[in-house]
Amino acid sequence: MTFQELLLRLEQFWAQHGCLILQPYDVEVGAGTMAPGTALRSLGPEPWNVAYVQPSRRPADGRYGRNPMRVQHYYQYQVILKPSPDNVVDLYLDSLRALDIDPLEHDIRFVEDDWEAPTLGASGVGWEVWLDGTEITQFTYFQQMGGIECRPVCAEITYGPERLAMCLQKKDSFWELEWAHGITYGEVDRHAEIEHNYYNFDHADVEMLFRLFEMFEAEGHRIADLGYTHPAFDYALKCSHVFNLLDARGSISVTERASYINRVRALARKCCVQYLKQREEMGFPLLKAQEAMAIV
Amino acid sequence: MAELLLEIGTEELPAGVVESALAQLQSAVTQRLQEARIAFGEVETFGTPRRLILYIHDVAPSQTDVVREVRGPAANVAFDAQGNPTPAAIGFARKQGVDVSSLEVVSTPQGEYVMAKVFERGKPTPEVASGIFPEAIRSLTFPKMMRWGSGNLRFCRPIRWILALYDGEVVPFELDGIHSGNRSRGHRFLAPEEFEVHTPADLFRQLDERYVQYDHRRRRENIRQQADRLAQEVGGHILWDEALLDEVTHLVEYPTALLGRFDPNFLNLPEPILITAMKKHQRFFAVADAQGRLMPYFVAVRNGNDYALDIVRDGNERVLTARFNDAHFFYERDRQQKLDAFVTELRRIVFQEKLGSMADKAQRLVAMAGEMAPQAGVDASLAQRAATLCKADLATEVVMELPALQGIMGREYALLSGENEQVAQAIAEHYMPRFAGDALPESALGRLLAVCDRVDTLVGYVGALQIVPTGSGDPFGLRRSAQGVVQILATDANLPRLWAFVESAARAYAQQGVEVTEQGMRLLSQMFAQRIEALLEDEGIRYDVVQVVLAEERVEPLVARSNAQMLNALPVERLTPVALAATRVRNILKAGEAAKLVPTATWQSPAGWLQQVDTSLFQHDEERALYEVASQHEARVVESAARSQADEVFSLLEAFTEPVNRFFDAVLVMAPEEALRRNRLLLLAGVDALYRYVGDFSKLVV
Repeated sequence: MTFQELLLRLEQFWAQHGCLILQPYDVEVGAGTMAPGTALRSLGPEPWNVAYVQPSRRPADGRYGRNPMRVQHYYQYQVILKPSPDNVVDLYLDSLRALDIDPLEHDIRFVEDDWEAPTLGASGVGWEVWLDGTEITQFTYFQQMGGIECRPVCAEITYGPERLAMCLQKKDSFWELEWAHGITYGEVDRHAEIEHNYYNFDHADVEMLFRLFEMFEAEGHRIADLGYTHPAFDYALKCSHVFNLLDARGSISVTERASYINRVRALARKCCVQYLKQREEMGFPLLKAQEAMAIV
Repeated sequence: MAELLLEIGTEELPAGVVESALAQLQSAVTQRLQEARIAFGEVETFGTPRRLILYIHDVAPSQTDVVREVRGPAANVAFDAQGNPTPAAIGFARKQGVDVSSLEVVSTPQGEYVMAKVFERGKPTPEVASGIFPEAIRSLTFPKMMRWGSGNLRFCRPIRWILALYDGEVVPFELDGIHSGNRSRGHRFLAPEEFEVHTPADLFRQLDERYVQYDHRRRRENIRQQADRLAQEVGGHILWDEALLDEVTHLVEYPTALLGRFDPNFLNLPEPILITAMKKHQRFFAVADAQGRLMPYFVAVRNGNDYALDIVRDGNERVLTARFNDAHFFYERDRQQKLDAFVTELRRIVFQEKLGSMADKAQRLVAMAGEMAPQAGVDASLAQRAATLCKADLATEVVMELPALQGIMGREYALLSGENEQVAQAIAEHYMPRFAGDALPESALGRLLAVCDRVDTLVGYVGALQIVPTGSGDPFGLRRSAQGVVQILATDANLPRLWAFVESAARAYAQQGVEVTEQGMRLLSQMFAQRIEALLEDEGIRYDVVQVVLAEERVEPLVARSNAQMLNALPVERLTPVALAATRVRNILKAGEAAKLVPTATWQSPAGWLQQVDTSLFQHDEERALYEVASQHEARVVESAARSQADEVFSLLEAFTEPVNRFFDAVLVMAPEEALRRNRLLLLAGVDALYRYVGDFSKLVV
């Protein structure tokens, strides 16, 4: 199964089960969780069942394209189910079957792995899911987002499509994966990966990044205070990405680190609180769409 | 008699919580049964990642009946002058459901009252269990709790079904929307459908058929046997790691072990890297040959049967190869630099936000090691070199990938960098003891560094930041650190004293602008005292003896232990006279006015007190006699105590018994004249300070 087909099958599967298929978010994020489709929408009582591919960036994780599995840019397949259905694990296993992974032919394990995202003030409880020893999915029940208790709780299923494809295609490296009809993942992404690594680790202008952080942060607070939550949240994401770049450059000392994280979290939290309040003032509009939103 | 059965069906529980959850469940239910007066027999528990099972044999069909005595109105209100019941008595009897004629009059300290004997028939067990089960389930606690869906219940992972039976019938209850029933489920993949259960035996039989090895003890042994057999097939044996075996046991409901291979070229990597990568990343067991050398095999345990086992093996071999390739790459990268080149990288690793980076910590350790080494009889330059390097491996890629290898890689890289062998050994040993029951560092340098490192951590967290472990939580391992310090210092007379280390650490922090607080140091003193107490109790020292030697602030582990062992071994006829004499001294000094006049709560040396005594104010021979014996023995007591010669100290203190007793018989300590009073108290304070080299004898039960 090609990388492309794998993503298409997941889209197909979750669409059939009632999820809205969102498109990838267009601000740099470290994970699908940070996109507003998860970070903001996981708050409050409205039902929210969605799935989307999210290209993700973690500058410090790059290895100049030399490591078969460690990269600064990769993809996540993100599913959010709110409230978490009683049969959510079974649904997940069905999604693996949709990828021709028969649990009887493999070893599938749920290994405890609790999750925390300090820049979002988010935490959850769950597992990493192993397929014959490879971690293929992060499965989390959100407990908090932006420091706010999640009620109801949503289930987040984050697939690592590259790792799944490695298992299915029996390849030992991301780069060798077949993206589609004979074209490899490496041919699609490796050139950019290597350049980004040189930029992230060796050439990013640190002074500029520090200035950007200050500017993004100030702008985020300014527009949040004007009542525009979504643009403000974008600036929280931009702050987070700039912080990650500075971190990859080794420009943030240990003593400063926590304070930068706190600053991103303060802005993200402000957005979360404000978002929830706005939805409440709007009467939580999606509550009326319980049926349209139902998981089938 | 009938049986009670409870099965809590969950999503996959963390491996570490299952056995604790079973123990909690057992005690929560059985305690409540006892309180509810329901007799029961043997209790068994079984656990898998997806279920907690409680099975109670021979459970009585109902609570035992009781007669309760209920007090009613006062007798003079309940009966009129003729002795006839009033409406108050009639109302009371009706309310209690007894005949008015059965009311009795009882006298109480508050006067005479009527009393009804109310017979209460025990309720049937299913009815009571309907209340007990949900309460017991709610009472379970886990290190991390969660909610799920739209519910409010907090548990470790979502509960998906509850099976509850008494004598074959459902014990009905509801827990946050989950209804108990008589249905269970088999293995998640091999037998996912629900099935009906009639009795405990029926459940266990069906679980066996449905690929669930519900008994975790048997499951563990099953894994052990399968793995042993596979290792034998290739002429090797498993390097058993019980913690790993426990974890694997609780990751699977139906274990099938499989033997995998890896490229023998990887055996050129240090064995700890291979073993740790297999364990931490993959939960694989390592295989060694008869000489104990690692073999290019591993044993993995699948949660399922042997169908398509080759696919599972292939996947696991692939992923292990990727892990080993990574480790190999990291190892080669690390080796391109000498170990000391990583020291500067430590500034990028946080020790504690307010206490600085690991580079700051290393700098403090160098200062401490330099100060403490001469007192420990260790070469100061070696100690400082070891302190400089001991954290460096935290910046290496192998340790960043596999933190469990801290220290072990440090030694490896130190030797490769041409460092002194003692230094390399100390780097590895300074993390010991790594867990309860682990060995202590072998080398003097390793022990010195182990104490410096932990005391630094404790002085920072507790002394400066006042962060202390709570009852159940010790996120920074502070209790374990204190335990390690106490274990090492209590058994090694060659190392400097604990509080010398503490003061040295406090100075090193002060150099970096971090100050300890008085409150923090008190907390630290208490924390060490608790660890010493635990150590002595483990060694079987009498409880009151432990209290004697722990009575002072800033207890020294070595001193406390040698004193405790000495006191514990003494015959009563030697111990009692000293204890009584010391207690007489202590008691008078503790009392109101004496404590104000001569404040012995603040420690002063015996010589310090005795120098203040004015011998010209002595009026009795007994005063002079006590003064002389104290002055003569003072230096020797102090000196013997400094060498932790507890027996010698005690023998010297025995010489005080008679003079003390004669003093009290002849002298009125609290004389009318203040000058005399104070002088006598000063003398006793000096004697008390000498006794206090052993401890507070008044805590002894004689």
